[in-house]
Order: sequence, then structure tokens, then C-alpha cells
Amino acid sequence: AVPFGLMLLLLPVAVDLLGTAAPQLQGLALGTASPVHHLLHRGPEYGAPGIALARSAAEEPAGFGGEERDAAEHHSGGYRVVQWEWSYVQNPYIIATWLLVASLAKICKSASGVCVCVCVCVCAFKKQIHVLLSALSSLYVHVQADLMDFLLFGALISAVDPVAVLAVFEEVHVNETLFIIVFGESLLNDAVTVVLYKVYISFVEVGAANVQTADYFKGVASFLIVSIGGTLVGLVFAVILGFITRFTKKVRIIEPLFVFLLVYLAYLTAELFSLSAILSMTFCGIGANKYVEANISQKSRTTVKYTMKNLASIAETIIFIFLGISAVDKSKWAWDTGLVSCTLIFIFVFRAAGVVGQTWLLNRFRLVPLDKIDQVVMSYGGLRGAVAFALVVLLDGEKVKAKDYFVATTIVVVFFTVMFQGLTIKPLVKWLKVPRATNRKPTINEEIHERAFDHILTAVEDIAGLQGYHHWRDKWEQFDKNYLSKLLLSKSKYRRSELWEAYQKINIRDAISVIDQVMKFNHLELRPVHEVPQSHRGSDTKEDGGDKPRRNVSWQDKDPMLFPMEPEDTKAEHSDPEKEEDVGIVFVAHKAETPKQRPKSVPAALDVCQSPPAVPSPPPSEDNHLPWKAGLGSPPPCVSVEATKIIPVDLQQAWNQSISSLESVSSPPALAEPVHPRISALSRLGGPRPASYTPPSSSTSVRAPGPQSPFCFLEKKKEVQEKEEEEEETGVSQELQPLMSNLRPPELLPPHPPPPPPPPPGPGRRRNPCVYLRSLVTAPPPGTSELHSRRPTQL
Amino acid sequence: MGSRASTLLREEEIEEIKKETGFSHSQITRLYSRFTSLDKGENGTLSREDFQRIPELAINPLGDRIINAFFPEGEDQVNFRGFMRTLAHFRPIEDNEKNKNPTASEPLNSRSNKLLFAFRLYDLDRDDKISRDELLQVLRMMVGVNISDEQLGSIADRTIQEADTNGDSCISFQEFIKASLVEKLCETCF
Repeated sequence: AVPFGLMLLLLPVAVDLLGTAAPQLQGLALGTASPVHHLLHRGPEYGAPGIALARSAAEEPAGFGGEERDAAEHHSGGYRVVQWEWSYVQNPYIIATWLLVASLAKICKSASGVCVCVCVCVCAFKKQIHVLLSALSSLYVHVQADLMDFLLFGALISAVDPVAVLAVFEEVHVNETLFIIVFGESLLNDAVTVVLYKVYISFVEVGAANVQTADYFKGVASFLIVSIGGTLVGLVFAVILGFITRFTKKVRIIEPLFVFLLVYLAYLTAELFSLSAILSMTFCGIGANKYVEANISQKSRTTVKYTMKNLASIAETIIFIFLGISAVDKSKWAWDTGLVSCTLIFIFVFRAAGVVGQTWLLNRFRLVPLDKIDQVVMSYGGLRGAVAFALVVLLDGEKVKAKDYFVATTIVVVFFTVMFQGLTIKPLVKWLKVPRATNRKPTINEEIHERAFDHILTAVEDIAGLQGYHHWRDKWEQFDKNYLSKLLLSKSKYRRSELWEAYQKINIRDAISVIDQVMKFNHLELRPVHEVPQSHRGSDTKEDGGDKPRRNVSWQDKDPMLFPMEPEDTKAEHSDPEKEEDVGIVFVAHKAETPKQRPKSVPAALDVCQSPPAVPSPPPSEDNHLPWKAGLGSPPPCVSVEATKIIPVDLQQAWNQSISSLESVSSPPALAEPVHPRISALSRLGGPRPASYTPPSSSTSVRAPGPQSPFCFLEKKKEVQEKEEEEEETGVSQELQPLMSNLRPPELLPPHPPPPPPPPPGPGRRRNPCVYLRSLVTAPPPGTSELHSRRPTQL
Repeated sequence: MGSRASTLLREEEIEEIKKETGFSHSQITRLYSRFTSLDKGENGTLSREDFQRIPELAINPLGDRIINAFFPEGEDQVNFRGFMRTLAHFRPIEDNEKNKNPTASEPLNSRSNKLLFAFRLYDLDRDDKISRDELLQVLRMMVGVNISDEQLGSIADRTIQEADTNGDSCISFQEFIKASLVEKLCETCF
């Protein structure tokens, strides 16, 4: 990713060599780099018609180069059937082409594909030290600037940029604590940047001599107001957003719109009151996350997530192009060696000093202290970026005489931190052996015991009369449960139990891995069958045949026998809209036409939903993981005990085939024995079943399997139903893909056959268990990413 | 109340408690005043009702079990020593303590003692195994009314299955240690 940024930054150098009108393009980019706050309101001040096209000689033929001001040549008589409307489409065309070029470069350059992000971080304490000392450096530079100017410069140069931090740390995969510290710092210091910048600007305008003591206090007060005010604005919008999404059951399609609009309004409202806009957006997201994620549909979650990623990518790209262009445009900056070198040294030295000092202070209150390695990474990870540059460019050249010097210095600083520090942080992390993020497979034990331990610790705190961490956290959760969730969560979601959800997620992951292995082993493929679900009344569907099961995200809408305590109002919600939402794809297991084909995998099948999958085979190395492929003598430990709970019965044909094929191989008796009792039980089950299964019941509960009884099943739903729906399989399959790859190594499924306890008595539906696996592959909450590594990286 | 409490607690008692539990002097006096404030009957011991009067414990799903953990086998009253002994489980782990005194018995707040405490909360009949029923009871307490019995049963089954390595469909203490999130319990209160 960093090399990519490098390339982007150097791209305009190539442009410059063409002798094109870089300033105008810069102006265009400036005008379009709206995500950079403050620039948003400037608009395209330089954007003008007839801008020369700048193309890098490598990518584009020189055909378009230099074409300007030809808008007037369209009126050469008569009606033209086809016209050259260049000036009409010029601006968007240029922008889009630039973005395309940059994104194509991403494909070539780096697999991880995260654009270099420019960080702007402002940390007040660090800044002040740095600021003062950069003022001292004025003794050594030949720049016409006084203390105020340097304070201003210090204010904007010491800001760490969240975008760059995010990118770099996402690649590096440090442990969660460290990531949160650095990323949180970069987010939260926006308030400080805003305040200090504005304060110093006003001081500069007024003149250093006229600043009174009261103004300093006003500065401090304004910092408090800006940060707390921004947070409050964000939280207010979070409440509004949560409340609105509570009622969006019937308008699922525009749920993402609500999310985007309200967050954007939070941003604008904070800007309106000149509060910290980034803090507002951040806290809007933090506050609303839990409720919005529960309330909106899976499709909307995916939409929001990937749209934001795309927008972020565009913004990053534009920023970097902009930076690169500015670097080349010599008219805008002036070089001063002393200032540049001093700045470079000081930002590093004083960031380190600040980190060390504050860590010392924090460690007195922390349970797990931050050690030296953490501190090194924290100081090294302070990358400056685009916001610093934007702020410096916005300086008023009249008031700040040294603006050009500052611009040059900022450019150098940004280049240096992004390139040098960004490139070297990964080797540094490896060398220092920083603890990395853990990818722990979730287990139901951990879920249960974690909750139990929380209760225990809270109780102990209450007994001892302490008001510690657990006490307050418990109080917050009570408040949330009694008031907030009632207000902001839709009724069906409010009654969900977290433990049950966690349990189902774990089961689904196992189910997916089982199916994957079975499919691979049997050269089967999953093909989607598109059927429109019919809505059906009530909760009295039979398990056999009959209608499609209700496909609801909420487990509530299942057999009433299970939930005799269902109150009336949730029953009322079992109306059609609830049922029709979040409908999935029915998969049918077919034998692949050419058995010689390499085994298909489930995610590959999911990639193409509308047509018979022309699926890419999984990499051959994976075959080695499958034990039964490794050697003939080995038993088929393809399922663990946990997973056997959830084998869909419709795959029993597959099982029969696999078992018979095993038995037909050289040593039949030896192979037959290690077969898990459940597998053999399954093979003894019922006769031929049709390849396409009839939609059975809606049982979603997972039962304990008995030796002779069928297995437990889950519903699997994919979230795309109608053909009109857009293609979010890729998103879902992408999400599934990491899951699958996570679960593929069967060492995660150790085979061991304890006899299961007798299953609880159930109705006859278990004879024909339902076969849909519900993919509750939800967009992970912040804290988990697709790979289930607990990192808040995905925005 | 505070001054009255400290006069009732003799210095040598404080020293003994300090040695046994590892709490500091100030912590002991603070906890003693808490003890006396809970002790409505003012007889130097706490009964179950005294604990149940704590409002937050009433809404804690495991409140009753934790209260029981304070009372030794078969007794209905707990004195201050017992109170402190139980609370000592939740002190931070100090590894250097063990190094100083290798001959002494394991401190109350060692990792395994903490886990044993938690284990005993599940294992009511003290047979050193968590059976399916015991697990079901705990789950039912934690989960409330939102889940049916069958679902809870599946969760319990899966839990046992995940943790059980010797196939007796119960969770022994060793299996419990391996399966649970030890770091979580090592979060402390003091």
C-alpha cells in the first residue's frame, strides 16, 4: 500500500514532465477533495473550463493532451448528428479517469490494496511541546516568521492523520490495544486540531502583540466546548438514527440512505456550530452502531459497509493525487533547509517524548501497563498527512508571510512520514516482536464463561462496596437494557438473546465448514435455486413439505411450541414484510457434471449466484489438508462431533456416496469402523431423497443429536432473493470466504466421538429436518472484522 | 460508623488477615466498615439476608450463587475473616508473591484459585464436575426468559461437547480451565 502511495505521489511528477497545466489540475483536485474538512466549503475555486488534461505518458496516449478551449467549435453550421461534447463532460471525465488510473495501480501494486492514508493527528500536549520548540527553531531558519506563526505551524504539523494510521496499522496487524490507542488518538485529536488552528489563526490575524491573557483562556474553553459539543452532536444524531431504523422494516431498501444521511448531517451540524466534525461523526457511529446494526437488514449492513469503503478509497486517492501535484507545483512553495530539517527532527523527537511522558502517567492507572515496545510503536506510528497539508494550504498568505516555507515543509514532512515511516513500520513491528492480533475461533464456552465471569466480578464489586469498572459497566448495561434498547431497538430485536445469537453463529460456522468439506470430497457443487418465498400465515407450518420456512433474522418467528411465552405483539409482527425480508437462496446439491472436476467450494459457488457456477477450484494445496485425501488408510474424520450436530440431512446422499466410495476403496472393514457413529447413523437414514429438497419446516433450533435420530439443522439464508436485487453476493461471499478459509484446516475440527446425551423430546419434525443453513454472516460489529480478528479496522 | 468499626477490629486481627489474604491495611479497614454496614443485626456476622439486601445483587443473575460462595459448607453465618477470605480471591495476581515464599500454600488470589472459585459456582453439589443439569441451571439464570428450554439444552450440550475431553459428558476442573477465558477472570476488582 505504501508503494502505491509512493507511486501516486510521483505520478504528478510525470505529469509535470509533460508540461501540462498542473496548477489548474491541482485546483480541480482541490475542489474535488471535499472529504478533507475545511476544504469542503471552499469549492472548486480553481476549477475552470478548458483545463488542460494531464495524463501520465505511461498510461494514456497523448491523444487528449493539450486539448483545450475547443468548446466553441461546435457551431460550424447545421445540425450535427454526433458532437464532441468535451467541455460538457470534461471535469467528471478527468476526475474519473484519474481515479481509475490510481485504482488500477492498486491492483498492480499491492495485494492488500489499502491506499496510503494520510494521517493528521493532533495531540495537544505533544503539540504544545513541539510547537514551542519549533518556535525556537526560528533562531536557526531564515524564515520571516514570529512566534505566533510558528505556533500555528506547529499546531497543524503535529496532527496525526487517522487515515494513514488506519491503513498502516491495518496492514501491520498489531494487537488490539495498541491499534485502539493510536487510531483513537488520531480520531480524537481532530478537536484539538480544530481548536488550536482556529485559535492561532485568530491570534496571527490580530497580531502577536495584541493577544491578551483572556484570549488564552478562551482558547482553552473553546477546546472543551468544541470537543464536548462535537461529541454531543454526534450522540444526538446517533439516537435519532437508532430511533429511525427501528421503524424501517417496511422500507428496507432505503435503510442505507438513512445511515448515510444522518451521519452526514451530524458532520454538517457540527461544522455549522464550528464544533469538531470528526468527533461528531465518530461518536455518531459509535453510539448508533449497536442499535442500527441490530435493526437494519443484512443487505443494508453490507451496502453501508462497502459503500463507505469505496468512498473512503476514492477520498484517499484524491488526496494523494492532490498532494503529489502540489509537490510539483513550484510556484506554491519555498524551500528552507533549516526549517525542513528542524521540523523533521523535532516532530519525531517530541512525539517520542510526549508518548513516553504520557505513558508514564497513564501506567499509574492502567491494569496492564504499556511497555516499551508499545511506546515505540505508538511514537513511530504517528504519520502526518493530508489534513496537515490542507490546513497549511489554506493559510492566508497575506497574514502569514512564511506560508510558502510552511507549505514546502509540510509537503516534505508528509512525504517523509508516509513513505519512510509507513514503509518501515512493518519491519519494525516484526523486529520488535510486537504482539499481533489474535484470530481466535469463537467457542460457546468462552461466550458463556465470559458472561458468567462478568456477573461474578460485578457481584463482588457490589458486595465489597466498590464502584469499580464492572459496577459502572453493569449499570450502563442495565440502563441500556431498560431504556435505550427499548427506545432504539425494534421489538423483535429487543428480545433476542445474545447468547443464543452467539451460539447460532458458532454453529453456522461449523456447518459451513462441514458442507465445504463434504462438497469438496464429493465433487459436489451447490447451485442456487431461485424460488420466491410465499408468505404464509402464522406459525403453524409443518416441517414436511408445505411452505417455505419463514426466513426471518429473528429466531422468534418459529414454532410456537418453542416459545410459549411469546407475547401478542411480536405475533402481530409476524406479518408479511417481516417474513419476506432477508430471504435467502436455496442451495441444491448436485453431483458435478464432470466428476473429474476438481472439487468446488462453497464460496466459489456463491460467487455466481445466477448461473451455474464456473467456479475456480480451491488451491490444490488445500487438498492436502483433507485427511481422507492424504491416505487411504485414514478414517474420514471429516466432521467433528460439534459439526455433526448440524449436518443437513439433504447431504446424506452425499454422505452415502462418500461412505460407499470409501468402502469400495482398498481396505473396507478398517475404514468402516472409525466411521463416526453419527455418520453411520446418517447413512442408515432414509432412502433416496430427491436432490432438490422440499422446503421443510422452520425449525431453527439446534438439537442435540441422538445416535439414531437425525441431526440438527440450521437454516441457512442468503440475503439476496429477488433477481432485481443487486449483486451483493460478492459481498456476502467475500464475507463467507474468510470464514471458510478460516475453517478449512480440519485441525480445527478434531474428531472425537463422545456419545451424545439423549436428545430432548421433540416433535416429529426431526424426521425431516430443515436444510437451510442460515448465514448469519452479519457485518461484524466494530471489534470484529471479517476475519474475526478483533480489530476495529473496518469502517 | 467508621471510627466505631476500627475500634472493633483489633490490630492483630488485621495483621492476620493481611497475611492470609494479602490485602493492605487500608483495604482491610475499608472492607471492615463495609462489612459492618452490611451487618444489620450487629452481631459480627453476616447472614444471607444481609447480602440479599444489596440492591444490585438482586438483579445479578448469579447473585444467589455468589452469596452462597461466602458461606462455608452448611453454615448460615459468615464472619469477617470468612468474608475477607472469599473476597481475597479477587485481588490482582502477584507473581512475585509466590517467588518470595515458595513453601507457603498457594495464595488465595492465584490463578487456579480464582478459577476454582468460579468453578464452584457452577458445581453446586461439589462433585468436582459440572454436569449438564448444573450447566443448564446456570444458563437459565444468565439468560432469562428469552430462550426456550430446548434451545438452552442445545447450548448446554454444545458447551459440554466443546469442553469435554474425556468423554464423561461433564466438565471437570481441568477441562474448565482449558475451555474458559482465563484472562477474563483475572480481571480484578481490587
